[in-house]
Amino acid sequence: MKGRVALFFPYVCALLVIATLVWRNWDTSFVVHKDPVCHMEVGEDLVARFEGQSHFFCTEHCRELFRKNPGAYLVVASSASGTHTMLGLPNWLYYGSVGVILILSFGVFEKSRYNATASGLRFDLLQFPRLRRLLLHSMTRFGVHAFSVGLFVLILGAGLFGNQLPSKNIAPLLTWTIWWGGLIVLILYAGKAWCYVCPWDAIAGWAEGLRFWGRKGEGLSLQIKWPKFMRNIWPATILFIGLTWVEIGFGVTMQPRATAWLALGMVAMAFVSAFVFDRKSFCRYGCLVGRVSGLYALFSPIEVRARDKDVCRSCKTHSCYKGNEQGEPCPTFQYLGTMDSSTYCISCMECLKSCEQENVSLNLRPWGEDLTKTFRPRSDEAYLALVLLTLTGFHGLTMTGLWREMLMAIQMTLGIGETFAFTLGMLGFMVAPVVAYAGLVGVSWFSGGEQSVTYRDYFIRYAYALLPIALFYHLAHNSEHLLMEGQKIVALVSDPFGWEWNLFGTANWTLPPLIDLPTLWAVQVCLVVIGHIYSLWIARHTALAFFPDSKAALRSQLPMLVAMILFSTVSLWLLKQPMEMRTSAM
Amino acid sequence: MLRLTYRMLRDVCKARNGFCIYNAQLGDICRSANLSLIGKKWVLCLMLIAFPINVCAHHILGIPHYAYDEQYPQTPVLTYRLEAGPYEVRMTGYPGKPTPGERCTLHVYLSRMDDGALFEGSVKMTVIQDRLIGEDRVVYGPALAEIEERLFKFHPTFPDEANYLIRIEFEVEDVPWIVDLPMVAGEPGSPWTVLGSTVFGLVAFVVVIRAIRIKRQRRVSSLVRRAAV
Repeated sequence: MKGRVALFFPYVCALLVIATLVWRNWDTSFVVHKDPVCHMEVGEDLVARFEGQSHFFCTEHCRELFRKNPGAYLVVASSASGTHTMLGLPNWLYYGSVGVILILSFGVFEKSRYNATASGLRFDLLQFPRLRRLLLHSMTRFGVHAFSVGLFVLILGAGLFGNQLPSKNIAPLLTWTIWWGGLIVLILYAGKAWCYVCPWDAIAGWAEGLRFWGRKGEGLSLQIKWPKFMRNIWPATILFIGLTWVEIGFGVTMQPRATAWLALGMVAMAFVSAFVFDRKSFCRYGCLVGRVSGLYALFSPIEVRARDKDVCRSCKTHSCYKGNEQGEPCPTFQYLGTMDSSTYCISCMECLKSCEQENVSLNLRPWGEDLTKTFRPRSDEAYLALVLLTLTGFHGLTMTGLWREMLMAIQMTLGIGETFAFTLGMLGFMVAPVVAYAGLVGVSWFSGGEQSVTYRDYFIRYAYALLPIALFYHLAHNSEHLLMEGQKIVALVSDPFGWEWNLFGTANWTLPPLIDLPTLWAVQVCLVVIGHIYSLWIARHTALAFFPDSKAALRSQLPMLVAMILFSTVSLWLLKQPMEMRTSAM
Repeated sequence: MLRLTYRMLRDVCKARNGFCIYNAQLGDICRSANLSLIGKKWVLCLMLIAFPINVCAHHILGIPHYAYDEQYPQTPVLTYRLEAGPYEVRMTGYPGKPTPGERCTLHVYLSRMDDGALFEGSVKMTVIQDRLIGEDRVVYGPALAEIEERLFKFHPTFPDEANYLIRIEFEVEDVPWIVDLPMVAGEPGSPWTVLGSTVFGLVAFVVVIRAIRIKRQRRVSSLVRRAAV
C-alpha cells in the first residue's frame, strides 16, 4: 500500500467496524433472551417457537439443534449454570480464510515490488495549534491522570470491599474485559497512549515528586541507576508470563478481590521503583503493560519523533533528554535525535515541552512503519514478540474443551496435580512454537546462503515480522470479549460494588451483545487476515534488508512464509473452537 | 511449605492410586486451597511459585456458582450449585455467614441431571478448617446422612473465625465423588488487613528512603565542607 491509502487504511478499518456495529444495532429491541442451546445472551434475530413459546438463538446452528430435539435443551436450560459455550467459526469460513491466507502468501505478495528504504506518509498532528496548546498545558496530563486514578480507585474499592460475585462487581469486567480487551484497540490506534494515562505511574509519580502537576523538583527518589544486568525487557517479559500464569491458572478474572490485589501489586512495584531508581526505570524495563504495549506500538499508526533530525544534530542543550525548566528529562532515557522506534517512548510529551527548537512532531503514519525500518533489533524484544505470539494463542486455547482434555492427559500420564500440569502445559505451548520457529529460521538461513548474516540475526529480525499475527489474533480474541460481554458495564456503573445501588437508573438493564455471532466471525477472520498480510509485508522487507537480490530474498523468505501460515492457521483454528466463556458468568 | 509438600505428596498418591481427577477445575482447586483468603494470598503465591503443585483433585465438573442472597429477609443463605458426575449437587447453608460457635444447617440436594431422579445412597460430610500453617483440622464429621425429605441434612458448628472446606462425598456405582465447597465463618480475612499492611509497608519504605537521603545529603555536605577547608 502506498501513500495516503496506507496512512488512512487503519481508520477505514475502524469506520467499517463502527458502521457494522451501528448497522447491526440500529433496530435492536434491547430485549435479552438466553439461547437454550449454548446459553449465550442473544437478541431477537433468530427465533423458533415450541409449545406456544418463542425461543431465541445466536446462530442458525443452534436453532437447528433446538428444532431437532427441543425438549432436551429446555430440560438442560432449566438447570444450567451461568456459563455458556460460544460457537467458533463455521467450517466454510475457516477453510475459506485458510485458502485466502495461502493465496496471499504464495500468489500475491511474492510478486509485488518493494522499496525497502521508502518511508510511509506522515501527518503531523501538532500542526493543529489547539492540540499543541492542550498537550503543553500542565493541567492536561493531571486531568487525564485524575480520571484514570479515579477509575483505578473504583476498581480497588470494588474489588476489595464490594460483593465478591463477579457478576455483581465492576472490578473484573472493567479490568479484564474493558481495559485489557480495549488496551489492544488503543495500541492499534494510539500507540503508547496508555502510558500517558497510566494510573499506577501517576500515583507513584505524585508520591515521589510531592506534587500533582507541573515540573517536579528534586523529588524523594534515591535516583539509583537501574542495575546493568537488568537493562533489558526480560523483567517485564517474566512479569507478563507470571501474570498469564496467575490469570489463567488461578482464575483471577473471576475474582474481584484477586483483581484488586494484582492492581495493588502494580502500584507497589511502580511506587518502589519510583523511590529507588532514576527517572522512570520501571516503565522502561519492568512494566509488563508498558513493554507489551511498547512492542505492539512498533506497529501502531502514531509516533513521537524529531521533526528534523538535522536540527537535533546541531542542538547543544539536548533538553529533550536532559530536561529544562519547561519539561522533565525523558523518563525512559530516549533522545529524539536518535530515536527510531516507538517501543520505549511513553508518550508523556515532556520533550514537546522542553525542546527549545520546537522540533517535536506527533505523527500519524501507516501501520507497521517501525517494523519495516532498519532499527536496532534486540534479542530481548524478539523473545517478547515470540512470547506474545505464543501466550495470546495459549489464552485462546485454555478457553476450549481441548485444553481440558490435554490437561487431563498430562495429569494422567505424569501422575501430577492440576497446577503442575497446567504449568507444564503452558510451558509446552510456549516452547513448541518457538522451537518450530527456530527450526524454520535455520532452514531459511541455509537457503539464503548469505554468510555475513548470522543465524542469530535471522532469528531476531524475523521475530518482529510475527508481531502483526500476534497483535491481530489478540485483537480478534479480545473483540469477542469486548463486543459480547462489554455491554454489561452499563448495568454495573449504576451498582459498581454490588450493593444493590442504582446510581444512574441502569442497574437492572440487560443489554444484548453489541454484535451477533456471524458478524463477529467475519470481523475476527478479517482481523487475522489483515495481521497475516502485514506480517508478509514486514517479512518481505526483512528479507530484502538481508538480501538486496530479490530472488535470494524470496528463497530465504519461503520457510518464514511457512511459519506465518502455520501461526495464522493456528489462530484461525483457535477461533474455530467453541469457546467456554468463563467470564460470561459475570 | 510443609503443608504444601504434604499436599503435593498426597495429590501424587491420589493420582497414582487411580483416584480419577477427570475435569477437576482450577477454580475449584484454588478455592479448596483458599487462595482467595486475605493474608494468605501473598505467601501462598510465593510458595506456589516455588512449588507449583496441585492442591486437591476431585470429581468436579464446572465452576461452582454461589451466591449470598442478600435479599433474604433475615440471615443470608448460602447457595452452591455444581455438577459432579451424573448428578447436580446443590448445597444451601443457613446462616450463609455463620459466626463462630453458631450452629449451622447445611442441606445437600443431589439429583440426576438427565431425569432429575434423587440420589438414594448415603452422603458423607466433613468440615475442615483450612489453615495456612499447620495441618488442616477436621472440626465436624465425617458425618453420614441418609436422604430425608428429598435432601441430606447436616448441622455443623464452626468453632473459630476462619475459612472452612465443606467436603461432600458420595459413591455412584463404586466411583467416589468428592466435592469441596468453601465456607467462611466470621470475617477472617478482611480486605482492610491487606490494604492496611500494603499502605503501612509503603509508608515504612518511604521513611527508609527518606532516612537514606538525609544521610546521603549529610555526607555530601560534610565532604563539601572538608573540601572548602
